[in-house]
Amino acid sequence: MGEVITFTSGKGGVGKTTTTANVGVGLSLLEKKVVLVDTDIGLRNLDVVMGLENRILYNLVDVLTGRCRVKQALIRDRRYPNLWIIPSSCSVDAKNSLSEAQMKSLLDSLKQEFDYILIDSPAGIDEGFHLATFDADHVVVVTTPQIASIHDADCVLQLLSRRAKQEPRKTQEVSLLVNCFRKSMVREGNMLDLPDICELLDAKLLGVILEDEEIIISQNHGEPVMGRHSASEMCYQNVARRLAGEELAIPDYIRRRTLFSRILFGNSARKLV
Amino acid sequence: MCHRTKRRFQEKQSRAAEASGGIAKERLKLMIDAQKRQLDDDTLNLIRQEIGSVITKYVDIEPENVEIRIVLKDYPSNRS
Repeated sequence: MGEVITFTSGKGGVGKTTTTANVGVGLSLLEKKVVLVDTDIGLRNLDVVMGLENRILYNLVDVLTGRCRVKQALIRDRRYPNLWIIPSSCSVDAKNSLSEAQMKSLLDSLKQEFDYILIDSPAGIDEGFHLATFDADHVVVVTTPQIASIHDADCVLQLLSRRAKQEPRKTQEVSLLVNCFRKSMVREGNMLDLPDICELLDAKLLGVILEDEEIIISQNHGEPVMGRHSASEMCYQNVARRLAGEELAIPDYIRRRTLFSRILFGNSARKLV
Repeated sequence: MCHRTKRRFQEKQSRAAEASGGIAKERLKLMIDAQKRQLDDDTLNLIRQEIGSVITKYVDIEPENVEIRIVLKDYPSNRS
């Protein structure tokens, strides 16, 4: 049985799609069978980020409304061994006619085939957000250290916990992912540090993604950042390993380790939170 | 001196041509172009209906037994 993991955020532009794409690639490199589902109806982006925009025949709306079979909408990413995507649609016509039941039946059939179903949620907290999160086993709230993004992340976290109380369907794991983290700005005291963010939001930290120019360059090419040997690659791979069940400490990026302390205490990552 | 400056300038230009920004622009041009040409579902249905009525005019067949698929060959992101 596959696990459904949804990446959501409240605020737009914090890196949901980028995270979904790269964590998905990371999981597929761990030899898991992965499908990425773009649920941002009307504003499809996941296929563009992955460079698969020319291979779309059918999309999520076609599957949900029964215009095609699930298999027909799955696009295989030939660069990776176990990776598929279901793109979203460009037209907004069907946006409000999609139901929970349709989504659930799609996810149930994907669970039979795949180890991980990663859902890229739309920004905002309306219908699309609900459709992307209601049946997830694990909801990952993506935030940057910017104040508006953290504020929106808090709204989403509260919404999720309220919903879990009101309509307890199943236990849903919720965790936090901090994106676009700049070590230098935190050292200068101009950016919130991880312990601060975790304390403010009172959420479990799944991982940290360092700010990286290579993200923009790789997306221009229509490629994930994985395999480009840049700062964020290891971060994404670590998130993928944690999602796959590995116990992996989040390294302390701020307190610099001197050579002396590394010799004395070992080179292993220090657990931060 | 002049030659070196010229060479540097050319190197810089060729690097700019290889850089990813140009690739992004090219991809976006294609996507936006395809998007503009994309027909919405209502128009597609109308085309199907009209072609169907033309066929039933010449061939003795019930309209519900006619299935029409529209494939725009040049635009790979278009749905058939």
